Amino acid sequence: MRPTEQIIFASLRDDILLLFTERWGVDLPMKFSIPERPVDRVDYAVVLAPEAVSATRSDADRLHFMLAVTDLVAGYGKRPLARLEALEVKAGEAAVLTGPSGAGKTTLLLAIAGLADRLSGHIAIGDEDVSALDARSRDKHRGRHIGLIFQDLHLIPGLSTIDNLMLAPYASGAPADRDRATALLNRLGLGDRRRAAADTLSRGEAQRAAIARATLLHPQLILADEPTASLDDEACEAVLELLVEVTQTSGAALLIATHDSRVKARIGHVAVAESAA
Amino acid sequence: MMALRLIWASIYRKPLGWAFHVLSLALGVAVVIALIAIDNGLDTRFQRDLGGVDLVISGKGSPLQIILSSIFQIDQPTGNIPISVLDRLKRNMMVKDAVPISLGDNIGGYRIVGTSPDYAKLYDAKLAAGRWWDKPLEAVLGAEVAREEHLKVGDMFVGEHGLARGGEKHTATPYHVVGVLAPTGAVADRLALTDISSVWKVHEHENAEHDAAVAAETSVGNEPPDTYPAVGQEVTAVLVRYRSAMGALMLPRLFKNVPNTQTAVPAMEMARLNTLLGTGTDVLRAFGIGLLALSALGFFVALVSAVQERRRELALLRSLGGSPWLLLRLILLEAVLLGLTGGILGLALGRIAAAVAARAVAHGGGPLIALPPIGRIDALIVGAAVLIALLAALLPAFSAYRLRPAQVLRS
Repeated sequence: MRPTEQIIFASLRDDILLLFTERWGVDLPMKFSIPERPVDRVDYAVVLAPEAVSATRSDADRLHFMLAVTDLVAGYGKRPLARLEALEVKAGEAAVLTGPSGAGKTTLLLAIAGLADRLSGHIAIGDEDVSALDARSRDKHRGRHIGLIFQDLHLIPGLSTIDNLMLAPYASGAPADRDRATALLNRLGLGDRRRAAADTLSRGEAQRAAIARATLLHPQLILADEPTASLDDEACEAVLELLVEVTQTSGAALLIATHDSRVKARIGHVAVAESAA
Repeated sequence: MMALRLIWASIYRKPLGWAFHVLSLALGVAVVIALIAIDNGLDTRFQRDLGGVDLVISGKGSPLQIILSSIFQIDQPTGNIPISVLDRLKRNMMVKDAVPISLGDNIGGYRIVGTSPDYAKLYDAKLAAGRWWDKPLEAVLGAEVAREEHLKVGDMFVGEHGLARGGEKHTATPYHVVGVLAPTGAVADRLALTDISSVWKVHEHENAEHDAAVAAETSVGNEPPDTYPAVGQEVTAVLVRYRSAMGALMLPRLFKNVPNTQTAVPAMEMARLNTLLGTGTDVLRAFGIGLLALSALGFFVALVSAVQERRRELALLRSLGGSPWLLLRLILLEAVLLGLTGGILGLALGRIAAAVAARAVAHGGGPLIALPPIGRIDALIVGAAVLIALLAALLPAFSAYRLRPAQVLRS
């Protein structure tokens, strides 16, 4: 395939590479990388013709965005608290969910994660319409495909740094890959702190550990709630840089709920939460 | 493994609080386990010491005292009876065995018992070394006596007057050790056995004094002469085994009206002893069960508070994909592990306490309690401790199950 080939997008489904192109004719095999995961070698590919692309355009669009939210009203029980009209975030990209205090940014973030109640609207993550999932499947989906980062970080004192990372596979039931956790900690500069108790980490180290835990299982979506609150400019920039870098390299979508103007200025792509109370 | 680490992290945050709750559970278990072990040990020991004796005849006094002194060798005898009683018993068709015992001296606190070799047969005692006595002042030592007093076949020892240490030494009449018994697990281990005539021989000079006293009293007519049997022809007690059940009906009656004699039925006295001791045991057992109930309450309060304090941690697990069942299982597992720790610790403490108590009883001159090996009943009590912890955890675990993570995480 020539570098100039016009590919609308590519996706791996059941280990078959789908290439959505404007015209016929793609040379295979080739070294290729798509947002869901890096592909060293393509064994099978289905190249869709322009007509097929046209026919599956809406499906393609849905798949194209790692996170797609439409007309979401979220709350607790039957009580609506927050509304988000529309939000689409592509793989490897970041967006900011902002709004005035009390608009329900965190509630929307938690609703996208399946932790708060979705009262109406649709949420699609990757190729999964999570709106249609029951509670148990939502838990499973969240464990495997969503990484959450909280303002309070929520590292468990008494557990080592690496064990705090290993909570992700434990809770989600995913295979526990300690080597990957070690590699991730090394990459984030925490290699020599992996056995340190979480309560002995500095704020910066703890922040990196929380990011590492959120990205350990190759999530499709990373949700961060006020990750830069109470950080000075330098620390804020460092955290954002790390989040963006991790997002780009992992091919996930990143959504940050914040009213921090520094984040909005850095990320650019902004959606506004509205109160629905 | 991660569940265990999480539980450890929870304990790590409040080690003293958890240690207190585990220890209170352990103490409850320990009390119950120690009581049962001692109770069973005493039962076994008493049954073994009874040696199938159906009736004891001794001097006038408390039947319970007679059983304690003549069978268990832990109390003062009530008094001597004429040897004619022994002869009469031996001639009786209903009597299978009639074994005399004569007490009066000790070696290092261990009683020297004048008897016949039939005494050893009550406990199936076998010689580990040497031979049985064939003349006065030859002794066969119980296994514990030989071990503690460092005596072996061929050694000599001197008895002390009385049943406890510190009495006058009978240096003129030393004993010659001719045999050592193999351990029996019964009272015979703690005795030095000798021929009944040895006791008479050792006390010959006392007998002479006794004769003089009798002569003096009878001369002034204070006492009828037949209350003083001929000295040198007395025994402390006779242990009787019936040939048939008919003996139980007839023999006690036959000796009811013999002057200065008292019959005692071990089974009846043991039942009375059990009633006397049973009240105390019941109180202690109720105390142990009360401790267990209290520790269950402590566990409940601690787990409710732990779930409350760990709401953010539990919510985090939900945010990482954990189901409500995962949280429920985690709290229950924590309770089971802490209950198991308390149970096992209680088992160890209870067994140590029982062993210490048994040793203290033995050192105090009481019976050496044969503690039963750790078995099913101990496992059941440890299981009960786990069950108590599990029951105490049900409500907290359910509250973890019902946790609304979003409400916790957004606060």
